[in-house]
Amino acid sequence: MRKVVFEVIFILLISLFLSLVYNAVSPTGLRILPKKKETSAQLSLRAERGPVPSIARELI
Amino acid sequence: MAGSISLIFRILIGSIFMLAGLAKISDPVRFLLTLREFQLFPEISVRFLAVYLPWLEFVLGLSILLGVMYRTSALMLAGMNMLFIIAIGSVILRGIEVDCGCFGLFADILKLPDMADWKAIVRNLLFTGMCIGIFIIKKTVISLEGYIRSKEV
Repeated sequence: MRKVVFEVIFILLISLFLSLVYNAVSPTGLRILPKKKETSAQLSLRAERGPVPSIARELI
Repeated sequence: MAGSISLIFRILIGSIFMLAGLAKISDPVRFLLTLREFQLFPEISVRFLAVYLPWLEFVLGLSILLGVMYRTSALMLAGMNMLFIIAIGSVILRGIEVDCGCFGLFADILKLPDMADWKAIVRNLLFTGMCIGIFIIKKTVISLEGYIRSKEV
């Protein structure tokens, strides 16, 4: 019984590892986590600052 | 005799699930869209499943084919097939017409039937039966596990 549990966990983990590594390096990889939404405070701060100058955008 | 039957089941199930896994790995976006059409899971888990399930299928198929941890893999694959049956059954009952996404790209190339319908349920029941067969028949021939054990003795 203990052997079966160990094997199940091993197979699940090895598949997880392979899937995440392949997804990260593959050009067709998917974004697993959704894009982070900006809070209203961050949005108002961005509006106050105005558009980012192109030279600064290049530095970013 | 029992060992030979187990080997035949292992070759069939192992190669089918390795191919099915590879088809989905090569086109994750298509599998993601198919999973969305099932309308069973929230968006974040759909994305995770679209990345994870194909690899799980591939690893299980490979281990069954090679004969490493094959009895546990067969049991896990039987469980997975039961979940597929439930998912396809729910889609049929809700009257949604979708691809089952079982063979992805290979379904187009080999012109295999790939709709989520009763045929898919029967096919999955057959796969589940073979997986349970592999698990129940304790003997098998030509396996990596057996080879390693013979070297140890």
